[in-house]
Amino acid sequence: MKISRRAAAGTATIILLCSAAFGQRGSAGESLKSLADQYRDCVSVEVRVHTDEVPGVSVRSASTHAVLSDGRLASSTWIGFTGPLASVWTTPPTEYRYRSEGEVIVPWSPQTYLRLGPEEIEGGALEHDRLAYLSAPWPRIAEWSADLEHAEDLVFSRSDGVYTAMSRTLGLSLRWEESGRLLAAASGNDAAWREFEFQGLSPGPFFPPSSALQRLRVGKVARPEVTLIYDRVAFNLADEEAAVSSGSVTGTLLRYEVETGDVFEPSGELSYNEPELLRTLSMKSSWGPTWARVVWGVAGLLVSASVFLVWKNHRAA
Amino acid sequence: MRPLTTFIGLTRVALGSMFLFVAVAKITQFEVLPIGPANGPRVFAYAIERNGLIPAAWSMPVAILVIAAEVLMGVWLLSHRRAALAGLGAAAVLAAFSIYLVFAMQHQGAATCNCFGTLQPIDVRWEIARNIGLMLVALVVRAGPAGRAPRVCDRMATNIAA
Repeated sequence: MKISRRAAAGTATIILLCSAAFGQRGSAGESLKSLADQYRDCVSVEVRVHTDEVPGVSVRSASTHAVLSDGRLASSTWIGFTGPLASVWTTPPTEYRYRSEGEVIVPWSPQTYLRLGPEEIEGGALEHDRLAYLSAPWPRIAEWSADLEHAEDLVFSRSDGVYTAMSRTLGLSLRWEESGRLLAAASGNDAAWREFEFQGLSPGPFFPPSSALQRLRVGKVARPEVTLIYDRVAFNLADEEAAVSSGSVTGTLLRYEVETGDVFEPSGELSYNEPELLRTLSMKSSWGPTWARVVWGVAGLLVSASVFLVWKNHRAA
Repeated sequence: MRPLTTFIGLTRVALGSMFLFVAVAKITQFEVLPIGPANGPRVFAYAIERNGLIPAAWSMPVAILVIAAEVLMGVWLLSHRRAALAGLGAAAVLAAFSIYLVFAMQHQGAATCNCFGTLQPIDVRWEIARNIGLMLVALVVRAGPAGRAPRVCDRMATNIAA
């Protein structure tokens, strides 16, 4: 049998590509397994992070996250807007999680904690939102590594001892060192993509970082990078040791009307209108509503009159 | 003596302005609390409730009383009438606030002041140090000349009376 040189070259190329692909998947699988092994014993983590003021943006924030390996998350976030009145701070529930269209979970507890998880909410599962875990992803790494390993569109690369695994369908990307230290985690899609690059990694178990660089891309627009400082990273705490214990955190499911922005209590009573609330909050950062301006104006007049009295007395003396 | 009198007068204005500022800041504040969006004295009442020293049912009346006291103190100081007594009153009010903060701190290890209309916790030692500083200012006002209103005030009062 005579085989043409062209056919032989084609067959060789196909064999080479197939073996390369299988070789890559094999290599990816081993690397992802070794990454998972480093974090398999990480059952939970509690982190406290804060961000310094972004230059030119008057926003300050601090948050606490407790992440469990089964995907439960307790999170609280404070965001403040500073305006001409330095004392003005707002504490809105900054992260709404939609279980389904028309429903929103908002924090409801003295600590403003928000707890999410499939088994926490009666009446259905809550889809995991990886973005919610990104600042404290370590208990989730073993599971995410397995997800990536089995992803059909896995893109795996290795360069200078640093591995990267990414899947668009999972909306997930991990970067780690050969030693198994997680360097970065990213999640999202074309509409919004967020990456946390961990810095100052300790050698200890699970390699806790001292800070992280957050990169956020919305559409084609990249937001300014934000540095998160980790004030506390504590792994595998018992409930009684953790600031967020299982008993102290509750959530409530409110009805949210997408068209109007009205948020209703479970009883059906209107709680607030979100656009109106945001308008009020933004007004608050300057002068507040009209009645507040009038009150400030009266106070200003009283002070002016008082200064005038001192001046008149000074002249009369 | 004239520059000193003027200085004391301006100090009184500063202290009175501060009292008025903190009261108006509390009246006009708006926060989204865990209990829902709230404004004015409700936010301050929430801060008092969280400190746990006063029964929850009393937090709102106490909040209104404190704000009213601050408004009255501010207007009194700004009026320059019975200034020495006003200075003493301001020092007493500040001392009461400080004692409350110390007890609240001892009670649960942290205290929320909401003094300047914010729920953002500040180290309570700073809050107490600030109050001591303001008390010193109040004592400067107290040490002011003779505790009488400025002449212009006297004239105005006479005119009003007439």
